[in-house]
Amino acid sequence: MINKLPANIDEMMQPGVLCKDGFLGADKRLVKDIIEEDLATIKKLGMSVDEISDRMTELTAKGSDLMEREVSVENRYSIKVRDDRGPAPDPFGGSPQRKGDTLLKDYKTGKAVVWNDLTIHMIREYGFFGGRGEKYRIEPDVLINILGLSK
Amino acid sequence: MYKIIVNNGEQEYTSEGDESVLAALARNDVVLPSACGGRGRCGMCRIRVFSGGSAVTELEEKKLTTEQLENKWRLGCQTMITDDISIELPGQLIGSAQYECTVEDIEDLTYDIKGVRFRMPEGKSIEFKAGQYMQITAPAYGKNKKSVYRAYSIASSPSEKDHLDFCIRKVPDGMVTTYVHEHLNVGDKATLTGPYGDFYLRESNREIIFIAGGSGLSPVQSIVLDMIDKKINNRKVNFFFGACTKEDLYYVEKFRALEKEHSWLHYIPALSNETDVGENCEEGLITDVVDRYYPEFTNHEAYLCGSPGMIGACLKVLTAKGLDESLIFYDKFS
Ligand SMILES: Cc1cc2nc3c(=O)[nH]c(=O)nc-3n(C[C@H](O)[C@H](O)[C@H](O)COP(=O)(O)OP(=O)(O)OC[C@H]3O[C@@H](n4cnc5c(N)ncnc54)[C@H](O)[C@@H]3O)c2cc1C
Ligand code: FES
Repeated sequence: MINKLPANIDEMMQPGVLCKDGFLGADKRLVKDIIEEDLATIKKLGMSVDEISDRMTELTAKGSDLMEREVSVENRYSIKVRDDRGPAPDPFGGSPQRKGDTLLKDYKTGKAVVWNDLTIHMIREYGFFGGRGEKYRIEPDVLINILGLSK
Repeated sequence: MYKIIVNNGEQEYTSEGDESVLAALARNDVVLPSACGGRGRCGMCRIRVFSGGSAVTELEEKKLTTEQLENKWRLGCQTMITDDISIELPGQLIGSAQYECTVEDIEDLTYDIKGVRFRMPEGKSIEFKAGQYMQITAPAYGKNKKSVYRAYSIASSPSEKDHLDFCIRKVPDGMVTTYVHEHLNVGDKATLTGPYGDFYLRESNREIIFIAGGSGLSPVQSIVLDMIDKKINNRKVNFFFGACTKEDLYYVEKFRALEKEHSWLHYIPALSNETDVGENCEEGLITDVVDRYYPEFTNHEAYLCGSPGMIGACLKVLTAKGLDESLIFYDKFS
């Protein structure tokens, strides 16, 4: 986890800077406050960002390299991984990630969510799940439940 | 006034300072590739700096390896002009330029891929190697307060010097593809820069394997058309095009007609999620189809174009059967 956020991080997250709708949705909080609050939730649930992001990576891998074919996984999920090209820049300044959303339907909770390598990278490296109302944000407790990680 | 000395004095520009190398070059119509608008986030604007310029930034230390930094690589957008500066631009950037093109035609190739044809500005022509890409700019629109540009492989032949064709796939909520798919109209002007990239046909007598998926068809089409124009007919070509369903296939008739006319060309579409693939089409993942086709590689070279996942999967299959990595080519940024 990085100790110091880039000084311009809140600006980098605005719509139209690095991506069309930005990373914050309707959230008016500062990035550092969003991260702090989500990390506290995760801690309360006895989880770590590594466990969450590792599981997201594991599920993504199960649907990858299939020319976008939707697959059934673990008798619980259907997963489809898009094959998009080009680098998705990391607003925190880390390595760019590959584009291509993972669309996951969880039959157990009835929820459908979407993430990509950048989402996973930002959770793993910075504890950033996105601002509220942002397309890629999944509330940490909901995500933990969908990933089947609830303790 | 400071000097920007390019490639040992091949070119020289000036700058008053207080700007990045990327910005200074752009003023002189030399546009470095970028996918982050010069914010030090994409790592695409790499140049070598031999002397002068601001110190290496923290962002550059993250984006570039120790070896790259030792070899004088910098990010053009993070290197500020503070004094005379001597730089090296990758060879492919020499000759790249900015063009105000006109959209001549837009056609639906599939439900999410559009074919877009641009006309070069009056009196201007473009030189490129088949397989290279251009950057297409979306102007400020909606919440995008600044113009942004992205890389798109040229689908037309280099012999067509007054037009450029592209196949552009819609990415959900993508900045540039949303613009192209929802706002761009025939007759509109659009800024294109380039050409860039080192994905092009190598000279040899080896058999050629092209493997592409989705919008990755473009550079392969450009290379095939170029081979036809240049009458390169002594090399056997197998073009494997992978898609999910029939709805994802495009230019099938075009490639069928080309293979009928040119016996060295064989077009093999493959569908990974279709129960009845129909005639002259393979069933399964493109990697499995390629695997089935070749018991071994004896005198081959392969060109891959698609998502990083597809490229990774193809690399595994090809190298497992003995094709040396030095004979496998792909765009490293894709
Ligand atoms: C050499 C090269 C050649 C290429 N050739 C072609 C071609 O011929 N045809 C073609 O169609 N494409 C091509 N591409 C891809 C193209 O350059 C673009 O990357 C692609 O079209 C998407 O651009 P965009 O601006 O629409 O999407 P962008 O806005 O750049 O990206 C959208 C994606 O970013 C991610 N994202 C956005 N917002 C968020 C968020 N808040 N949180 C997390 N993730 C987020 C998601 O994955 C989303 O799908 C090529 C790329 C390269 C490098
Ligand atoms: S333009 Fe993206 S890192 Fe320089």
